[in-house]
Amino acid sequence: MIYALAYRMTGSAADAEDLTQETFIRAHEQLAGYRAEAKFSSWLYRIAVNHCLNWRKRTARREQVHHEWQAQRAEYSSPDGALAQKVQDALMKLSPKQRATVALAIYDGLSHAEAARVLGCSETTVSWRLFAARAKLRRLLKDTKAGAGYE
Amino acid sequence: MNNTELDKLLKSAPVPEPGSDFWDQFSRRVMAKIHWSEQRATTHVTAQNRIRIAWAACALLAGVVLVLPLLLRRDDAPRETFGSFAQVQKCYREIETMFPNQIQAIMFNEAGSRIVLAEKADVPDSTPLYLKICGPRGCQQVVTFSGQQIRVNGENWDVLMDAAGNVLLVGRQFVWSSASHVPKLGEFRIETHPLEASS
Repeated sequence: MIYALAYRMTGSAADAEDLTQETFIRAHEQLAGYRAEAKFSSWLYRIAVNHCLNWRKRTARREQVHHEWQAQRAEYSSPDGALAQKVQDALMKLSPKQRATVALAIYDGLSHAEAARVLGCSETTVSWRLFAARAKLRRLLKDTKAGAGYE
Repeated sequence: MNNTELDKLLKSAPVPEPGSDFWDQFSRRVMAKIHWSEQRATTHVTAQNRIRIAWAACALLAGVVLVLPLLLRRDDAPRETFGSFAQVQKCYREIETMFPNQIQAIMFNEAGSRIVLAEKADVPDSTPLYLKICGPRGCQQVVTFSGQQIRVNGENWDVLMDAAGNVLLVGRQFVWSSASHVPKLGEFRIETHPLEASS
């Protein structure tokens, strides 16, 4: 789940691998600070989301990521791959916080309350980010259908 | 396209599998990195010694520059005390210029100041946070970033900033948040905000 979240957030498999590792290392370091009031998965998600939000600030790596995208794009020659790439491209056009909200609430099925706890914001903010993200995704993916690749 | 159709479309896009040996090697890599970071904490001390010497030289020079004019010319103009918020801001900016993306924390207390630097310039860009922690042993001021650790009273505290800009301090036995607007944590009095905000 952490790897998938990291991939949705970064659009890069290599960065998702790095971020997954870093998340578990950070979790190991912070384990003593874990409070059992929160679900362990929520706590782990929070660490992962914070790492992913920091990832976008690593400007030095952006160029490298861009090249990786190009390489991944070349690998996606099947219709499913093209669809996946188009969806991921659309996700990357969202703001990082909207993307994190989509990853948690839509892909991982967290309730708005759980996503709010992970993201450290209110449920209203989660609802609003989802609303705005869906509107943008709907616009970006209007000519795309599941299982149909590019139309 | 309604929400259900959109969600279905989004979920139909698979996440590419990681490298073939990623999960096989995962636990070994994580444990190796944890071991490495623990070792790094030890070697870090050597690097810190070099920084301390450089810092001591800078402090000595700054002391001469500040004290000499006072000895030569006495006046009643108000003077900025060492360790004021403005001076902490200025000091941070200067050190950040010298070590971009390498500062993990800068600490100031009665005994002097201490810079904690990462070995590589890989500290992510984020809002620098200012903390003033006063306890029975005096006050210390810290400039650090979300995700870094600071040492207070012999204990490591994690410094985190949430999406709303609140600062969280996480120790072994507590979690304190600036959102609570309670500046006390046990025997400590805490003031914290982004460094660029006014005190």
